Amino acid sequence: MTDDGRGMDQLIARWLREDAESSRVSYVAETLERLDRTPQRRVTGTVRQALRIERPILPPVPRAGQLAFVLLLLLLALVTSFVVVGSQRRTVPPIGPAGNGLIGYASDNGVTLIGLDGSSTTTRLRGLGADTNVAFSPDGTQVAFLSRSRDAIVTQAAQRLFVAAVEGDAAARDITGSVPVWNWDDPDVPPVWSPDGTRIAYSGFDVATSRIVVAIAHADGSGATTIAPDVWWLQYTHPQWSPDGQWLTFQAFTTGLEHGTQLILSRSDGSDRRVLIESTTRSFSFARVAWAPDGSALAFSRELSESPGDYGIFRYEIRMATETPVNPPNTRAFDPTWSPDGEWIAYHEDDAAPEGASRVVVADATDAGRPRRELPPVVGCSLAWSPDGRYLLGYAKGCEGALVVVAVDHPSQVITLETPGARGVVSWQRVPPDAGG
Amino acid sequence: MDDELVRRARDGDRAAFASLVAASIDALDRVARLITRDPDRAQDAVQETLIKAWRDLPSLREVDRFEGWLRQLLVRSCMDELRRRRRFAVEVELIDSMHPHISDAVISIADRDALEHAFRRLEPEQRALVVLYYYQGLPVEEIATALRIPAGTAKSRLFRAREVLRAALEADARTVTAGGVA
Repeated sequence: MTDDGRGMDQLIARWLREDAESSRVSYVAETLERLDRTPQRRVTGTVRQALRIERPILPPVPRAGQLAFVLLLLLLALVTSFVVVGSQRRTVPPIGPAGNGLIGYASDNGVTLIGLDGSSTTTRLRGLGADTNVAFSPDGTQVAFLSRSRDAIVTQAAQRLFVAAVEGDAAARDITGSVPVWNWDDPDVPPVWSPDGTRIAYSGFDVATSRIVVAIAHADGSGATTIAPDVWWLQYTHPQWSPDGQWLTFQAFTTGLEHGTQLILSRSDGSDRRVLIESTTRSFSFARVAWAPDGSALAFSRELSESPGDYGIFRYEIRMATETPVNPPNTRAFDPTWSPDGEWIAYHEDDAAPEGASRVVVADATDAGRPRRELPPVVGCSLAWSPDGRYLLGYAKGCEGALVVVAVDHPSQVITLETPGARGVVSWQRVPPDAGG
Repeated sequence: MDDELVRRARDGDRAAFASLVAASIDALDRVARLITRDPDRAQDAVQETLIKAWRDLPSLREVDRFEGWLRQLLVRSCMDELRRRRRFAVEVELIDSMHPHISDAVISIADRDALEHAFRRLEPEQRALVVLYYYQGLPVEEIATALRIPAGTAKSRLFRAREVLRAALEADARTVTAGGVA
């Protein structure tokens, strides 16, 4: 033990030095290989001048050409949105309390669908080998998931989007097109179905422009559009559909020397873009956004300006542009998810103290002042409501090997589902309309 | 760091950047391992750092700021790595081969364990503060720059982190003493 402050300092310094001595780097070649596949960002003339860079790095692209390309993309997005709006199907109405469907998860065996009784139904849904992040379509008839080859080096362009019908024998289809999935910064982000089930939004890497964009693929594989930032130093990620399918929120994340993270709202064709709120630091703020079922508000976790590194959950009223904290002071909170009836927000909460406890909380999402509920400490990570709003699903403590389902009104009722090798985001199926629920 | 190499890499010379990687990767890895306490996470953080550095290098105005900029990227990558995965991670205990030269004469096993456990309880930012201050020996102002926080904030958070480590050592000492009496 130390006898004084200096001794304490010396002890910490020595401990760190001794640990560091044994570091050996064995991945230089792998790193260089990854670098070979990474393009350097192009700096345009104007930006180059602003940054006082002496000479061009790449041949300049004429400004008129850039403008024409952007206009073409916007035109395509507009045309596509008109076509999609015209072909919308009616959203399936919410189901009754008795009718929750299967739970989907991915592992080395592909996508597995499991019932609450533990019955596992299929492993025929496979992608390229390393599948993850399952998402049922809103009507429960299809499933989307992400996949990459087991041999692929994890780069921004390695992962692809697959879709398959839950019933039948058809193999999963790759509908990615020319914009592969970008989830290198944040692997546990699922593809997001539009409420009408015709489109799927995801964070994409536009190979042609080397930009990270919001990509919107048609579920039938007929193509994709993108919403791209206007400037090269922004990247758009983590899209979420509004309940009416007309709007998207997404995160704008700065790269390089810039600062800040923004939450953007735009129409689903990328028009009418506006910044709702921003964080002053580069962070995972707005990486987890949940729309209220009536579309009036959002819940998100963002880094606290007064305590960088700590995250809190806020309810954001879109019309009023007001932000209300959901978790109490001296706690940190992550991953809000809104109950299907819009009454509650469930999330993970930790005490701010380093040795503090963690728990899942169900908090009042209205202004009714109802007391919050704390679930037993059985859920380790991830969180999803059952379609009937009676249960919460997550990984068990330790976050691998098993899923747990907790009855929200009777939290002592816990169902544990053994799911060896499960990884990424899990999803709960709304009973398909023809299943007779 | 060789400014000419940085300038050439900034202009798109991959070979120059490869030289910079070769010169810096060991040091980056050491810092990343100390912050993350996990070799795989450290590797991810270092690779992410170098790829971001290569990708965004054209935006670096002053080549002599390269080292500090790289440090900034590394610390941010480590912190992101810890935040991103902490809810999904099972903490990996360091294997013996990671500290083969330790003997009780240098730091007692009990103190090492206490420091290790206390350090793992620190927030990502506090971990970075401790490593940059005690291992890299950087002044608080430079650490504040790397973490993008005010120097006063860096100082107070460093103090709090140090108190957590001290409390862990003192608690450990009490346990040992009590055990000895019994």
